[in-house]
Amino acid sequence: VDLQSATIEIESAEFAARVNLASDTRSLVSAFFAEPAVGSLADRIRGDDGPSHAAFLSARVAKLATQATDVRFEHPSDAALAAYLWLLSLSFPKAARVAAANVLSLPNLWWGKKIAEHMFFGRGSDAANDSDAVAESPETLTSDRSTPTNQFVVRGPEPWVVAAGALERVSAELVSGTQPTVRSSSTTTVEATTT
Amino acid sequence: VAFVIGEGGPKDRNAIQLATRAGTWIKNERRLERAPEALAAAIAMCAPFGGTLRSITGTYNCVGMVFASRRTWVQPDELAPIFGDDGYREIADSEAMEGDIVLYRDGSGDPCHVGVVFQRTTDVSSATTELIVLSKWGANGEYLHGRNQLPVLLLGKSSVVMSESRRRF
Repeated sequence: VDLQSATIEIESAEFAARVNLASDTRSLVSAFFAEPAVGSLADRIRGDDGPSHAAFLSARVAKLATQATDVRFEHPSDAALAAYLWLLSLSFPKAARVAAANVLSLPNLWWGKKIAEHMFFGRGSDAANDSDAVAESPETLTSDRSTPTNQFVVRGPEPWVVAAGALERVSAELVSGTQPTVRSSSTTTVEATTT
Repeated sequence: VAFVIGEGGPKDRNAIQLATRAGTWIKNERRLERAPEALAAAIAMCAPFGGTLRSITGTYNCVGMVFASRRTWVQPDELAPIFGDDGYREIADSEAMEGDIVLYRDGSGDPCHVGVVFQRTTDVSSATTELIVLSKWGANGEYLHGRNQLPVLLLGKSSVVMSESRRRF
């Protein structure tokens, strides 16, 4: 499968239909393994020419992420974005996290968001669900506990690379079991909001 | 960048209130509908498996169909507490009744799919029980199908019938 054919296949509605049989990220990745186009790209990205293929996939992610979509519906490239992020993560974890930070800003992703979260918070984003651990960092987080539905949201302006760096630190600390120590900066703030 | 901590939990506004009989929160998330062309492609992809399409939407999955009244998406790893708290037990195929649950497990023994027994037929000559199951195929359609008439990803490696029925005391 050549590069162009592989991307056409992965960005097709048929590919999305097949991998959308999955109910969780583990079965999604199993579905990826069954896809020849994904396998072809996985071989390429692990090969000698891996960096150029990683750059190509990063560019595809950036392009798909800026595609105008009908926000009433799920992003038409949701499955493709998830596949590209996963492929990048195989050999280029930093590039994958940068790409993941890019797609996290999209409002209508499902699998793409799940894979992106996985990169920042580990297996099944279980660590991310430990909201109490995050809430116990008053110096870095502000919260409105009077609102029962408040959630901790990391917000940043467009320089998402900076935000990605902050999230990497949170991820490492959550995974290692230490208190998160994300600090607000001029470019990235961590705050509690009601969504 | 917006990153929600605690997705699917009690503080997630995208989750609905959902708990086991014992009150254990069942993590869930409401998923956006998929575009009409995506749903059409899903129907075409699933057609060769021969199931009968009952309905199609991307907003809930198999666990959400069975345990959340088709209102939200629930990951299969939530099934263990549900079965435990709700008093489910594994039963023999011959004991299965309409309304019981078929649980599919992957090669690791973890739940990968779930459906409701829609119809049971017994072949006396071969002493075998056939089950027609109603289940939701990921974000694709909801199908009536034979017990093993499933895409590999959902079929897994084995399946058992689970029941909370209290016909006996």
